[in-house]
Amino acid sequence: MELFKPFSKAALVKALACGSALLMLAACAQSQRALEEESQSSRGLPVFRMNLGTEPPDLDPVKISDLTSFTVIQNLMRGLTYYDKGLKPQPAVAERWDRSADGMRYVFYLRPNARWSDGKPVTAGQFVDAWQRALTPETAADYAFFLYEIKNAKAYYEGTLKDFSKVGVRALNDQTLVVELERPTPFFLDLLAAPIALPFRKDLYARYGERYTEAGHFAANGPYRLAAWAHDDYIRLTPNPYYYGEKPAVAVKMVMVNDTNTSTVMYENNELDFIETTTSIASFDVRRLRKSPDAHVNRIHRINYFGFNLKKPPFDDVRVRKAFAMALDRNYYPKLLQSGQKPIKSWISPGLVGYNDSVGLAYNPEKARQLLAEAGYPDGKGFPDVTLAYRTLYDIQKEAEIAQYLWKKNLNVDVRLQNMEWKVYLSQLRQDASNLYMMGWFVDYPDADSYMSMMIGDSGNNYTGWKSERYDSLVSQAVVTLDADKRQKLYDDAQRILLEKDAVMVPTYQAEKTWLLKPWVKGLEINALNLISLDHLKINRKQ
Amino acid sequence: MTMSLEVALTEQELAAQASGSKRVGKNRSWLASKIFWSALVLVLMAFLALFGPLFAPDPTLINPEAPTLSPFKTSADGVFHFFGTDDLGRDLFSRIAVGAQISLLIGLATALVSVLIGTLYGTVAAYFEGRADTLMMRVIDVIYSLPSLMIVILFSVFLGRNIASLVLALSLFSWPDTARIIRGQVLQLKREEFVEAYHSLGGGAIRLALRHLIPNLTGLIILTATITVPRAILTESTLSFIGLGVEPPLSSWGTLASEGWQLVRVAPHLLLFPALMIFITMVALNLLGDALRDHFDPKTKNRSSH
Amino acid sequence: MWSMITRQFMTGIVTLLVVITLTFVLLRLLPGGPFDQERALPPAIKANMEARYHLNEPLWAQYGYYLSNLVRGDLGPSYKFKSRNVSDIVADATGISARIGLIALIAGTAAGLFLGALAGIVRNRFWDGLLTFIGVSSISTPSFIFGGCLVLLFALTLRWFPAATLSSPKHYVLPILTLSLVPFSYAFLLIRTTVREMRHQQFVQIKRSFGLDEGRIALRHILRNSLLPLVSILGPITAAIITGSFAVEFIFAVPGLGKHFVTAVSNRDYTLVMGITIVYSVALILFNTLTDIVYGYLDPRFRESTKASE
Repeated sequence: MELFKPFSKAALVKALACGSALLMLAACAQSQRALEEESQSSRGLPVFRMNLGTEPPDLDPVKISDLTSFTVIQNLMRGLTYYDKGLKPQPAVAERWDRSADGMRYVFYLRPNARWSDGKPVTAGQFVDAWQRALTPETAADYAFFLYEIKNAKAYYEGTLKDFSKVGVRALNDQTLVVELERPTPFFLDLLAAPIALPFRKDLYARYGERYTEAGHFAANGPYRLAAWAHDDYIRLTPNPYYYGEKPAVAVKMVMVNDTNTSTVMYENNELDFIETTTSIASFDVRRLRKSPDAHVNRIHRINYFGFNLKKPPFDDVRVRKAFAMALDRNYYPKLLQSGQKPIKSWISPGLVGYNDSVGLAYNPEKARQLLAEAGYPDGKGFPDVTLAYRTLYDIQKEAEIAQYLWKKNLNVDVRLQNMEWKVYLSQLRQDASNLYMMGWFVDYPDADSYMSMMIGDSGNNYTGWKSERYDSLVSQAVVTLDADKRQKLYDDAQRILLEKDAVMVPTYQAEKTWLLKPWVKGLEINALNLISLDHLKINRKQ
Repeated sequence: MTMSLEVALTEQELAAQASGSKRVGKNRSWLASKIFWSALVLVLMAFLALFGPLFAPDPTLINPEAPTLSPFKTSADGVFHFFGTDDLGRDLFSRIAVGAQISLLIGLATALVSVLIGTLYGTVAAYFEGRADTLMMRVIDVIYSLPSLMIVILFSVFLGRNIASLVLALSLFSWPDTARIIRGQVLQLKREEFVEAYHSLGGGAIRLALRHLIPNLTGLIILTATITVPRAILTESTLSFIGLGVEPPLSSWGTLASEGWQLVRVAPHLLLFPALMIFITMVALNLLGDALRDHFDPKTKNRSSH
Repeated sequence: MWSMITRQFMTGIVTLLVVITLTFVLLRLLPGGPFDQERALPPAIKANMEARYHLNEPLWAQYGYYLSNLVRGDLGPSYKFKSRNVSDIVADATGISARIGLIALIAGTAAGLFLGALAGIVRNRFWDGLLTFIGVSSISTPSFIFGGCLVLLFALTLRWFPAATLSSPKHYVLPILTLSLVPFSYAFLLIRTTVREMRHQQFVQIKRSFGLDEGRIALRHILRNSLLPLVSILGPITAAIITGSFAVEFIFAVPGLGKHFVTAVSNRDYTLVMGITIVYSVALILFNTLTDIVYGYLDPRFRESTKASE
């Protein structure tokens, strides 16, 4: 009995009280700090509050490969060129450029007043440093292949060329950069707007190592500077005093709330000024929110599709593939998913040179049944077991279930659904794709080539096992064709092979972005690459 | 010395009953009614799982005209939806009935596997005692100290997220409970005279186990199975809820609740009905376990088998 | 006593090694690697990325690297959050998870202790029924259902509390309430049984016959006698809180260890998964060891039995 003395009731209660008080204190201290920071930086400028959804994996322009990081970097940095609203590359750090007649050589003239947020000038050498770093294998940059259009860049990256001075980029002086290309790529100026092509501060990297992206270390050369980065909590941007262009009139707070229900409530409670479908709006809520006067929509260059594995029967038979394509009523998608899916049957989205809505197989259940019968499966009789694989994700699950239902209804065939965790799915696709698979493609650069080259025979993203020399040659001709009409013709021919003659894939719908913006905010721009630009924001809460 | 709550409660109860501190005024009729009602609920759930789909619309039927119908509504094409429909217009009641099959199957199968392994392990440990026993119990201590949910998650991603792999992964961490309880009981049985008498007559170990130990353990085995089922259902539904449980188109109650959570602002019934089913089943199972624990009396069992 | 602690420590090390090896092997067996992404990387680029993190070397070599770094306290770089160390991410996340977990542990246990004791004492059939119902319901409600219903009621319908994140003290209420259900139910059921047994033990009856105030006896004895069983399930409570924290962090979008674990597994962020698993294991081992030490200190019978078994 004596043993229990130290644990008398009073002592226990005291201990409990002290413990919980301490913990509460810790919790309060943390949030107190956040509140103070908020009031301090909003002292002068109005604050624009948006949701990133998650912590950006990285802010090192060379290493990032995801939309969250792109969104932040888009507003912190400027490359040689910059996309305008219509995705045309505009002069940015490069004030102007000369292009040689054969399209193989560019000379960029940098703005003398382009500066980093610590006041240092932006120089041509910093671009050379950046591209050398991106092309150095040890850096392990995802998007290094963007620079492959530059002469000898690929050879340097793959190690067959050791001397970087042989790569086609050279700084003549601090303001002049000369670039030589492998081929006259029409979209080279587009590539230069990508994060991988942004300038690099070697000196900061030498001082801070991998942590040079932390707030306080990081230097930006765009409209904003990185004022704070509380990991897994928020990022704060304030205007960059040394920006060459018009300085923004607001500060930005980007929170990281990865629950769409919460972010929608936060918007409705005026805790956020802006929400959008990628991060902050549940797909199912879109229909309701679209009725709001704050709602805006814009299309993005992303198409979802079904792919067939031609190496496995029965989809080695083109009639079966066509039957499946024609049995798909694409109108089910907007009707059931209700988040702005726009049915599309071609493989280039509107707004790009090469788009043609007459290409592709339309919904035609009678023809589909007839084709299936010709292939030896009248009314679906004797149709072998086929599996539709897809990534485990709520919306995609729904899409698969709709397709399964339509194939059953129109062709009387049973398709087995198999969803897989994302990385399992990817590795299965690359080793041995199932009969049918579902993927989406989001263009890397605003050019039809990003869609079309994805399906060439040796593309790492073509899992169908299909290879057509005619298609490949049409696509590679189109890439270097500068005349728009000729390009259109080449792409039409190529698409007809891909979607109608061989029917290797079935595009289903183009994604649409829905966003809500408070009426007191003006000047927000979102382009079809899903990038959010905050340069011209104006906030007037008194309205 | 670490143990799960179920083991702690069971051992407490067993110790109390073995030491003869019988409860004053232990209410037999109260116990019996607890067992009756919880068993009734469970039978109804099993009925729902087995025959529910026969009385309801096809759970896979997509209806673009009737998404997220509220409960007790009839869709435009004249089908009555008892629990309403989900966002693709499928009947929620039939999906819950099919979900019952999966959730209950996972619970029962996990109990079966862990009781088999646990009983064998516990009996062997107790039979040999000494060093072997110490070592075997140490292994259990290590298992108790493993972060089970994380390893279950890794296992289920590795094995593919089907019913069999989930049962395997869940059993991995539930058999030690059975093993502990059984071991304790076998140790106690060994001390009793009839075993010694049996040994002195030259009976073999296996025959001893078959003829005397196993029959004497039946009650306890049923009890441990009863307390394993709700734990398995709970873990499975939690996994499914965070998106790591059984893969669609199989949808357990946890999967349905997870889908409902996504749509909670629009159609809360999609969360509430599966949640209610999980809750009712869990209450029934826990009450049953609780009642069996109270009801279980090692002394009377031993006497009655002789 | 000391020999027991040493033995516990050794068991802890063995457990940790088992965890590390198991997690390491399982992770590498999973299909797909950290650099498999939606758009396939050109093979040369993917090979370079793998080389940078030694992923091209044989498994045993990778295991060796990992262990030798671990001994030096280095959990390695994250494959997803490329500029951050696993140690930094894990430290941040542990702070969040531990804060919620500990408050929930204390609050839940205290409430469970109180109501459980009450449930053990009351004789009134109505109160007994009600309290038993509360107890059984609490153990029967998975955290995600409780949390989901709390959000539905208090955040979405009544709008009394925010629905997610931890940006102010008010934000802590619902997640802590949700998580405290687990320790509450454990403490409740255990204490109720303990108190019931106690009520029928002789010394209570004797003291009562001497006319001591029943309430005072009850309180004092309950606290003393319930400590032992309570301590004995400290480990499992911790384990259950960890399970609960996965659901809670999912529902409330809290960037704690559970949330990070789930995303790290799907990102195949090997080092981050390992780091989180190690932190959780250490917590579990610590609480289990603590249980044993306190148990050995409190319970003389146990002290003797461990001596005897050595």
